[in-house]
Amino acid sequence: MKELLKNKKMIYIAIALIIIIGIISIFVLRLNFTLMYSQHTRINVFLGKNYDLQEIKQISQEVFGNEEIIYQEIETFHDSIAITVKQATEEQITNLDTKLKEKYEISSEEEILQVNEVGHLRGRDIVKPYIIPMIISTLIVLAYVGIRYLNLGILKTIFTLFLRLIISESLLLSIIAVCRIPIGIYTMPVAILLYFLVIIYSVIGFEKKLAKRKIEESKK
Amino acid sequence: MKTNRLIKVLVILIILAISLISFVGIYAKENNLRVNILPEYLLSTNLSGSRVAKLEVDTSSNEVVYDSEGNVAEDGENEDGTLKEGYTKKEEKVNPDEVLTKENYEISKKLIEKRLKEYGVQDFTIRQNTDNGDIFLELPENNNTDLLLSDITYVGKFEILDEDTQEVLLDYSKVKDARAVYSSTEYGTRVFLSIEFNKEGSKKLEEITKNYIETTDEEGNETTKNILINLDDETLLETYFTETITNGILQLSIGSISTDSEEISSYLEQAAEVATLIDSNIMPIKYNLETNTYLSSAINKDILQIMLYIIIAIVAVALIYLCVKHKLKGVFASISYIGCIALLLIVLRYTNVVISLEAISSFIILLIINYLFVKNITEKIENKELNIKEIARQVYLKYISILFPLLLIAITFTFMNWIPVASIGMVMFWGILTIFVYNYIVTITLLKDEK
Repeated sequence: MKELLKNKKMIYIAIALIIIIGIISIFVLRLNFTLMYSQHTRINVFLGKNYDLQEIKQISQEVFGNEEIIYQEIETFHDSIAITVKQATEEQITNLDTKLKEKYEISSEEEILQVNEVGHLRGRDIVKPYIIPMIISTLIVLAYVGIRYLNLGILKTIFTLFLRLIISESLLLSIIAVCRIPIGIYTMPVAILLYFLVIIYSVIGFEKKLAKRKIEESKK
Repeated sequence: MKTNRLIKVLVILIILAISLISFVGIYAKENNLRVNILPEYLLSTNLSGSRVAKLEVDTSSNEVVYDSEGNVAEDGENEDGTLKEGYTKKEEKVNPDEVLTKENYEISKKLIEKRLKEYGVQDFTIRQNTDNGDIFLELPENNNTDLLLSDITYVGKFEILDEDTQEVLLDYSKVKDARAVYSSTEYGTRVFLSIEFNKEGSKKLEEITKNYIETTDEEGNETTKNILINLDDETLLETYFTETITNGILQLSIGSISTDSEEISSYLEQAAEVATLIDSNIMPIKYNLETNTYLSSAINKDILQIMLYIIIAIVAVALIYLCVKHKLKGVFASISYIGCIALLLIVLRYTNVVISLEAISSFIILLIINYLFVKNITEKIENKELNIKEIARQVYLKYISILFPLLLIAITFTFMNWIPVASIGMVMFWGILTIFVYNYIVTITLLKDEK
C-alpha cells in the first residue's frame, strides 16, 4: 500500500513537472506548427496539360532539396497543381519555372506560376471553435456526474472529473510543447479523443466505487 | 435447438450481407457503367478539399476631379478632355497609406470572419499575411460559394443619397440593425430587406420620407424627388416614398411576390447577405478577390492509410484474442462486432453525417466501446450464472451509465454550427444508438445458448 502511494506521488510529481516545463517552453520556445499551419509559400502551377505527379515531385525535390513539400491538385482537370513549401527564394522559383516549362514543353513567355505567401494559422483560431462546445458539454457532464454519483460526494466527484480533464489536456499540450511535436490537423482529434477517454475512465471508476459503496451498505 | 441454429445461421448471413454492402457496396448499371448506389460519404473540407480564395489589399488608384471649391465633381472635363476652369485632378489611392496598418488588417480579418459566420458557413479557415494584409480563405465547395466570395469583399458602405445632388442623406453609421424578413399574403410571399435605424437615423428617415415623394402641380404634372440607396457606391435601388416612415424601419422589397418556395428562399438568401453587409461595421480596407481555386485536401493520404491499417490491426488482434479466449462464442462475438461497424458506416451514409478528421476521435471511442460491450456480454453468457434476459439487463444498465455522459456530449456537439465539432457529435450519437440497438438484436441472439 505504502509502495502504491509512493508510486502515485511520484506520478503526480512527474505530471506537475512536465506541465511546468511545458508552460515554460510555450512561452520561451513557442509552439511548433506543421507546414500547412505555419506561414508558407504556395506556388500554383498552371500547366494547361496533363501532368505526372511523380515528375512534378522529382522536379520540386531538385529545386527545393529535402524540404517538406505538399502537393494539392487544383480543380479537377489534372492540369494544374499547388506546391507548398516553407519558403521559396526568387532563384528557386525561376528554377522551378524553367524546369517545368522544359519538361512540359511550354513556351518561355507563358506565365505558369502564381506565388502566394500564405499567413500562418493562429493557435487561438484553431482552438476557438471548440471552446464553447467543450465548456457547455463539460458543464452538462459535471452536472450529470454530480447527480448520478451523489452518494460518493457531489463536490468530490465533480472536482475529480474536472481536475482530470484539465490535467490531461494540459499534459497533452505540455508534451506537444516539450517534444516540439508540430501542431497540425491531427492535434484537435487527439485532444478530443483524450477528453472522451478521461470521461469514460472517470465514469467507470465512479461506477465501481458506487457499486462497492452499495455492497458495503447492504452488508451493514 | 434446430430453430436456434437456423436463426444463428440466418443472423450470420445477414451480418455478412451488411458487411458486404458497407465495405464493398451495391453496384447497379447506370448509363452502361456499374456504380455504387449507396450514398457517398459526405466529407468535410479537411478530408475532401476546399475552395481557396485570396483576398488582396487593393493597391490601385482612382483619378478624382475636384471643382474650384474642393468638392468632388462628377463631370469635370470639357468635351476635348481638358479640365474645366478651376478644376483639379488628383490620383487617389483606393486604400490610402495611412489605413494600411496592422490594426486595420486585423479588423478586416475579424469582419470577414463575422460575415462568414452570419452567412452560415460552418467550416472555414481564415489566414492573414500580417506583412501585406492579404487574406486567404478556405471554404466548403457548394453552389453558394461563388456568390459568397463576390459579396465578402464589400466594404459595407451603405448610403442613402439625393439622386440629383448626390448629397448623403443617411449612412451606415445610423444603422441599428439589418435583417431579411418576409410577409405572406393570399397572393404569395414577399421578401424584404429590413433596415432599422438608431434614434438619430429614425428622425432623419422620417424627414427623408416626407421630402422624397411624388408631387402633382396645379396643372396635374407629376414630379418625383428620388433617393438612391447605395452599397459601396453601387446603386441598389432608386425610389421615392409614398408614406412617411415614423418607426425608423426602412423595408426594401427584394424580388417579386412569389409562391415558389425555392424562389422565396433565394430572395431570402440575397436579402440576408445584403443585411449582413449593412449590419456589420464597414471594412477599413478595400479588398479584391484575387484568386479563387478549388484545392484538393492537403492531408497526406499515405499517413491516413497507415493510421487506418494500424486501427484495423489493433481491432484484428483484439478480435483474435476474443476468439482464442471464448472459442466459438468469441468467433460469433467477433462476427457480430464487424457487423456492427459495417452497419454504423451504412447509417452514417444514409443520415448524411458530414465526416471530418475530428470525427475520427468519436469513431475510435465507438470501436473501443463496442468491443468492451461485446466482450462483456460474451463473458457473462459464458459464465452461465444468469439467464439471457438478466445478462442483457445488467450489461445495458452498466453501459447506459457509462455512455450517458458521452451521449450528452454528442447531442451538445451536434447542435453546434461548426462542421468539425458537429461531426464529432453526430458520429458519436449514431454510433451509440447503433451499438445499443444492434447488439440487443444481433449479438445477444448470436451468443445465447442453444436450449
